[in-house]
Amino acid sequence: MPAHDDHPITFNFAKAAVAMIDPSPLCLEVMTGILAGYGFRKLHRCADLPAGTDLVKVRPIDLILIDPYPFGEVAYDFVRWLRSDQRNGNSASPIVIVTAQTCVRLITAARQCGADYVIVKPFSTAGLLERILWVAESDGRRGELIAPTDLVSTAGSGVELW
Amino acid sequence: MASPAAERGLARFINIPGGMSAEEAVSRADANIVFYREPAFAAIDEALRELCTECRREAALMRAPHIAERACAIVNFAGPFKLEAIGAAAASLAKLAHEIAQHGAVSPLAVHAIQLHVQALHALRGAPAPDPARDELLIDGLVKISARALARS
Repeated sequence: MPAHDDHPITFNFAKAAVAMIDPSPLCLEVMTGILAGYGFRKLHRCADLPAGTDLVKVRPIDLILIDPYPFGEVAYDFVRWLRSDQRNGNSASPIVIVTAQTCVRLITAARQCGADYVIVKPFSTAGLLERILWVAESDGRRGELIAPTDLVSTAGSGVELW
Repeated sequence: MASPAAERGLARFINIPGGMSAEEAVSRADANIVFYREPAFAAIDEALRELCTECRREAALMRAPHIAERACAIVNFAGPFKLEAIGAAAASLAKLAHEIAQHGAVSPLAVHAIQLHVQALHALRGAPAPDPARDELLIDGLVKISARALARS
């Protein structure tokens, strides 16, 4: 966990808004349960990209979690669009790609579209929280994809991202 | 229109009054998703059945994109419900199938690699208890066979 041993980190996400974009209803339910456990109370579930687009146009969002793989290339278009829309207060919100696919091409796409972080599936409840807290503590380091520099086999297997 | 960009992000919620510790948060998250354990396992089993069906097809009819998508469905639930080995095996299969889909053709070695992954998933799902030493060897083997299959495609 990203904390000093003498002063463990605490957090209160009750007023933070998080958007989850995933086509699987059960995935959204499980993720909602996990994030609610972390203390999030403003949880927005989007089953598709149009719903996600409508949401970020009208609601302040502090964290966006999206698995682009089910949606294909248009998911990266969504991120690109949000980053470019300077009138939108969410244009600078942290966007986290959550994915089981870590091949070079997809990580490059994540980097180029403007996402901030990649979290690799499968993740445990402890692992996801650790990443989210890292996101929170890295708020000042925006605009670059944060991932280990020792990527990535061209076979796209055995990659240890976080 | 949403409020100004300066009021975004999670930093302002760290170390503020009324906060909880990471340990408490994880405990609460685990408790919250207990209700979804049964449907999540059912989803894993359904995906595994579809993968078995896919493996019985002839190589030319094997649908790598579908295999990748079904493997991802297993990965989605394996992590939160502490099925580490199943998650790792499914992730390996998802990556393998995705790479095969990019190349278009499914070679005999790739078919073999896919079948081994599905057999491993089936065995792991049916195992009475995790065996870390066995599981590590199994996953390592799957990663190696994937790399070989992709190197020759």
